[in-house]
Amino acid sequence: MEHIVLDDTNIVAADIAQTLLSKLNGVDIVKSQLHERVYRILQQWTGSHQVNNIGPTIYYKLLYYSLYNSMADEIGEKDFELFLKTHIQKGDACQYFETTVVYGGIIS
Amino acid sequence: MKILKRIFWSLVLLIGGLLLFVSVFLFFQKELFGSKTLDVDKFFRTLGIAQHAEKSAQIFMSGPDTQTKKDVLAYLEGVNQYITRGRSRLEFMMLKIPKETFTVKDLFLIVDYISFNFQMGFKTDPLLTRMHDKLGDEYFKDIQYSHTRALKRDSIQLIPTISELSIPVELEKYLPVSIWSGSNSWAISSSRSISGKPLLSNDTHIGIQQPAVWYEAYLECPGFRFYGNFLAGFPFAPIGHTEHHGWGLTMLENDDIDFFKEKVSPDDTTLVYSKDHWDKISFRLETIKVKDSADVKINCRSTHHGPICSDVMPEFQRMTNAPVSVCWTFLNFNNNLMDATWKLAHANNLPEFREAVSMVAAPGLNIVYADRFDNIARYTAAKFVIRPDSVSADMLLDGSGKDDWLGYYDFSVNPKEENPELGFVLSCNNPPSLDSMNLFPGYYVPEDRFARLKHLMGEAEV
Repeated sequence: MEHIVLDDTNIVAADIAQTLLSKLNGVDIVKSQLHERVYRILQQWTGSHQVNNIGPTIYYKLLYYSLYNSMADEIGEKDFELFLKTHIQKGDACQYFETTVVYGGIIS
Repeated sequence: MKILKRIFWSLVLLIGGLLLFVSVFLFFQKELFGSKTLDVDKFFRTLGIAQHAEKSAQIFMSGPDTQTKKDVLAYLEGVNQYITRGRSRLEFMMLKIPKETFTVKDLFLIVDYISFNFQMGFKTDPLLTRMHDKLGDEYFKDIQYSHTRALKRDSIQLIPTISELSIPVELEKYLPVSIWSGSNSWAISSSRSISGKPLLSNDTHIGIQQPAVWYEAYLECPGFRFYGNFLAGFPFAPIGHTEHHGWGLTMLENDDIDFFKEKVSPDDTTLVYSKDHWDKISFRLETIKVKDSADVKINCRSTHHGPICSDVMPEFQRMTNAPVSVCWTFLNFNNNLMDATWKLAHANNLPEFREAVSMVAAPGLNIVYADRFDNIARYTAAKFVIRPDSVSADMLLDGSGKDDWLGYYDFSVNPKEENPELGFVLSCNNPPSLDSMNLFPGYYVPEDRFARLKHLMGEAEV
């Protein structure tokens, strides 16, 4: 019971992370050792949210900037902030990124 | 009953200060905190929360003399004992708040206020309408927004919009009770537990706040043992267990709120169109006493749909010149959560518990149940709205009649599970059933926590 109540793994997020990474495949964005390291950490992330995990930080930053770059220019900065406060932004992110196209390192 | 009464009193003594904090905010908010919170007050007054609570209290008190009523009055007596005989608290002296005793209406007001907390629609619908009118259907397809059914609608001509922060979001900064979100609850039958007994788990999530609004309490007197999580100012526990059964809850997040753009008569601005005739707008004058300045008088207007909220929500004023009213299940029914929660605790079997669940109109709840006879269940407690097929529940609707609500679904069609073969039931604010996209639109949280919990349940016995 404790095992379930204290669980910190998000399997859906791990799935979305892999989808995002697959989109980056073949795109020339891994430009430095640091990029490569970040890429690898996310690739190996299982969805766990332990205090020492770096995967979640990379994942949420990547998710945030993906959404921001996709939407803020269209709906505006303030509405984007509001959008983040609703449940719609948590919608079907997995499907959303399936259809995402990466242009020169900028996700749109 | 004397003993029960005494238990209530002692409980109340324990939580007195905390309760007063919440309620003081409700009743004297404006007078206490000055013009900073004026917008909050205007918003609540326009919605008519106080009138709703008063009416609910009146109906409750004029009803039969049930045990529920006796218990509410005993609780109230305890609160007032504390106020009149207890020591004066420092924060009250500092803020110069006079001692005033509570009434039944005050208890209903607290329940009403807490219920308001769940209103996702107030911030989501204006945003989606703005996005839709600026960017069109295609954009919604892109973001895979599928919680709503038909997105296609007759275009309502909007004034070009400037993005604005939403008033309900601003309000959250000033409210003393944090917004609730992210709860999990599950129950398993004996077939899956190592102990051979059913298990129930519930972790309700609410933002961090001080003083805390939840408190745990154990009540025992001859013939009655109860352990539960109570809310300050509300006599009965929303979550708890008896010797016979236990239950937990998560917010359902069903969409029981719609905004209507009213069609005002060109000849008379006090008339709005409804299906085939012109309907009078009702008025209510409210005076707000402000601590650091003169009284503020506001005119609260209502149509047949509900309060005209565009008067206090500039996000609507920027969309349209027409008044926008809000139709909200919560305001359309009297608050009977006192009766419902009392019955949840006193149910003797599954049908009685189900009966208590069916009383809840709003806010929508997922209720997870387990009893010592190895029954487990998950219910959706809400009055689900029946809308015309053409209506998208997340958009600003046409107020002239064609988009009007058609009624509410009978409780028998509410999604539920009773003793499922799998041997477990789960609830994580997720959509309540597979076809929920069609029948029951809502602001449901996606499957993340639900998927994980289901996965863990499949792994092993618990």
